[in-house]
Amino acid sequence: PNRSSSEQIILRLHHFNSPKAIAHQQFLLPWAKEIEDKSEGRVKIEVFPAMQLGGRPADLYSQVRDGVVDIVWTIPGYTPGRFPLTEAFELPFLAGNASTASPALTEYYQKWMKEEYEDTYPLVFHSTAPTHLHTVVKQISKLEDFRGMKIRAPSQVSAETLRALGAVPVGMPIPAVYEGLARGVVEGTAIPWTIMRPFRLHEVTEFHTEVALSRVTFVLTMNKQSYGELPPDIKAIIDNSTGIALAKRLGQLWDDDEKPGRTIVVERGHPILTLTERERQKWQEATQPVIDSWISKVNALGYDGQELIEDVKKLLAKYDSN
Amino acid sequence: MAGSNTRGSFHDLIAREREFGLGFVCWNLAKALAIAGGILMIGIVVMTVISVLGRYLYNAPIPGDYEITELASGVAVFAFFPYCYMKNANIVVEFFTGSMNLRWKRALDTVHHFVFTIVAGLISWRLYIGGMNKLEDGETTLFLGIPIWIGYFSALPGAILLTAVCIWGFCLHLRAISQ
Amino acid sequence: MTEIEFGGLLFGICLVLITLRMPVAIAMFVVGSFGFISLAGLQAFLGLLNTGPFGRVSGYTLSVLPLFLLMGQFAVRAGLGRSLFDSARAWVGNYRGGLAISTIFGCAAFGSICGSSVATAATMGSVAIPEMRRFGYSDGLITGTLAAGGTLGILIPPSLILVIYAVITEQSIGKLFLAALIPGIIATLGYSLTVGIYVRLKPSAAPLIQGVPIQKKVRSLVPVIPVAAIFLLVIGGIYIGVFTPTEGAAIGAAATFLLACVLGRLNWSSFVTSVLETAQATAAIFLILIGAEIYNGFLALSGIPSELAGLFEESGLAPMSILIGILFLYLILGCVMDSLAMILLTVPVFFPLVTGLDFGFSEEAIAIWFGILTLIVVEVGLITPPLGLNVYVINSLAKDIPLASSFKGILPFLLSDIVRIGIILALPATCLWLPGLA
Ligand code: NA
Ligand code: NA
Repeated sequence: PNRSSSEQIILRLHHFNSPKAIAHQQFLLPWAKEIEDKSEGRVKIEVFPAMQLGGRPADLYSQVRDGVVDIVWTIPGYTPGRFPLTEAFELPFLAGNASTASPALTEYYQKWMKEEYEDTYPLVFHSTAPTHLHTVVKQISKLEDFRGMKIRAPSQVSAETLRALGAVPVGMPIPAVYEGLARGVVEGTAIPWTIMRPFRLHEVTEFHTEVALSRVTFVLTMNKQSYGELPPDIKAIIDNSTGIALAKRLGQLWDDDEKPGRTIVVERGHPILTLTERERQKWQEATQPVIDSWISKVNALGYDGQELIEDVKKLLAKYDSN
Repeated sequence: MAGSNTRGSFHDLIAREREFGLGFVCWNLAKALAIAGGILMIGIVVMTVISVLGRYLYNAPIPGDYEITELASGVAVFAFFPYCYMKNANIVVEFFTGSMNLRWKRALDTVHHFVFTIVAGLISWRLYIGGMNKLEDGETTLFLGIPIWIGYFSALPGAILLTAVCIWGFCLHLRAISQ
Repeated sequence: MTEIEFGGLLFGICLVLITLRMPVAIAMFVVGSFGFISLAGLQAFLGLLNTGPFGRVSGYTLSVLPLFLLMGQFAVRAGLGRSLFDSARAWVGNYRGGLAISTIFGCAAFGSICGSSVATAATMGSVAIPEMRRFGYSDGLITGTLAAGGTLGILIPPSLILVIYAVITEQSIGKLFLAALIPGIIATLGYSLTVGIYVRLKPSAAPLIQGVPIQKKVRSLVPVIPVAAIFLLVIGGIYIGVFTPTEGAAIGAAATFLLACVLGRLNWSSFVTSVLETAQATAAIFLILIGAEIYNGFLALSGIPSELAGLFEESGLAPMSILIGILFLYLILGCVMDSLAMILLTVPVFFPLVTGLDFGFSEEAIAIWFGILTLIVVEVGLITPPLGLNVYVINSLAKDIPLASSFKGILPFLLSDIVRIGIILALPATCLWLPGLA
């Protein structure tokens, strides 16, 4: 952290989203303000959106670890291989919306992932609502519909999931998806409803299948030294304004943002299909290998993958009742 | 824009010296590395054409073609740096110093080449550290799971050779002004 | 000193270092580093360098640059400059000033598959200078035509400058290319008209030459066909979205490579030359991009862009006055600065400011309109004295023409540029209609 002459502590927060995104406007800026108010102006958090300070989104975690900035908000999935335990929450067909998954993930971190994030000081984990399928030329209603379809996948786990379902996963950055869909470079995308409006994807997709396939997880994390150097009362302010309480609020924020995205599609008269129970069963069986391969991957790292998955389910159930 | 500049005495210095001795070694190493990088670029061209054709004809793009392009072009660009230096093709604005006498120009160039050497050394050092970090972190590409450190370490020869030719160029200028 | 003043001071130091002929990339890197370290500390700076430079050179979108450069190189080796010039000459060569107009059309056609202005100026220069001299054209008209015609290399898509603008402002390369098409055609016609008026006022500058029979005219069109086909394939494909710009550039490079082979103009040594020329230009561009990355990081830290935007907002100036002011500043900077450095130094400051103004159309439309205007003023910078890269290139091909008469020959074309800027300011639809934003 930097100290200006008035002994004000300046913390710099770097992230990849646009300055108009919900994360910047409704989460990061208000949170920065909250810390500033609670500390009565002794802490100031400067938020730099859109990778303004340099580097690529995938480098954000390295940046906070190496002390380029004090805090980053990033997607662990941007650095495949770096956070294998976090991937548990991206595995196919886990229950729960954002308000369930966010506190569950934060608690899961406290129980299991301290080691995975030991080189920084995570403040909160959260997630979007589950991803659904949005396609251009045909509705996906059964497993066979996937065959050979080019579908944009947001992360490694979701790519494996789509491949297991028979699709051809394509990786492209989210801002490119609109044109990709419009011109047939990809035929569909797996995203939560919240992404629909900011990227105007309702204009280029026609069919929607609500499947709760996977989800995208986020972390807000702080440089260890920056945190360590803070006075105890400031540490307390930060700790009290993050963690599970914040995760719940963020989950709610992203769940609430699902509705407008869904509404806009309904208003345009697009069909939205929900899977039959029998079909869901088939999809779950088809994607079981993804879960198995994740289990053997983390087993090789010395964890008990099966136990972790059981715990994820337990945590999701725990926060579901809240 | 790039590819050409307004060249002065300084250009002559490197152009002359790359024909003999150590300069000759630097020049040929830089050229060889640039050609290697060029072959990598040609590889990207071939792969991309196959992938696009595969996508439209057989619905089968080469998986992970984007990430191969990213890593390969990064490595290629680093391989190009020493050659660009040896050709003295880095963009320099030489209008205001055009009428300056040779001694002053050489003095300025010596300073610039010292700074260039520091910058190249700094980039090489941090590229190495960055690569080591990626190795320890186990970061990979999204689809193919190619370890990222492979890209960093493959770029390292370019960065190191750039530093080396910078040192050579700096010494050249030092010698020229002390004469 | 406030952070804003500090930022302004460092900007000034950067300019001084550049004028003292420090390589532009190194000047930006050093000044950016110094600023970054002062504001965020050494540890932060070293951490940024761990991933920054490699991240900058290994991005998917930017990999389009070396590929377009390669495509241009193959076009040069394939001798397309000569064929295009000959074809244009067969059609318009017999009018007064016809060779100069042929040169302009040749440049435009060559520019439609070459992304670099200097490569276009150099290629067409080596073809057209001897011809124009042979027929007794005046020195000023020769160098003026070629230096200005060369700028069509970046005005008509594909364009390296537009790619870089697209990357730093996160706009669609395909839409920007399409937006540049009509302004590029206006430029071609404007330059031709300029030649027409010039030789009418000063007939001695361009003696009349004999026309060619119609059969020869038609036959001369043959080499134009593959060029038009490649242009349609690459630019059309990118815009329709059949492939990404990077894929389009790779396909274009492959197509020009094949064309050069079919024409029998590519052997091993000219192939190696193409690769090495690409390597050289790529390295020069990317080294500046690395320097700019550090410099722009510092700029964001200092808060200059947002402060400046606030300042203009409070000033109460009309959006159009602000835009014209910025373009005027660019024209001044363009006299003494390198085009790439100019974009990388200033667009991060002005872009958020301009897209925040109310011109009555969407932010994306403003971004594209501003991109084309920036492209044009940057292009003008390539021919304005004292530092006009294209003029230097042409001058190195015609060494006996004094630099002063070259710059004098540029003046009528500059006038045409100013008129074109006016047209595009008054009629944004010239840029926005094709990409469908108007
Ligand atoms: Na062009
Ligand atoms: Na100029």
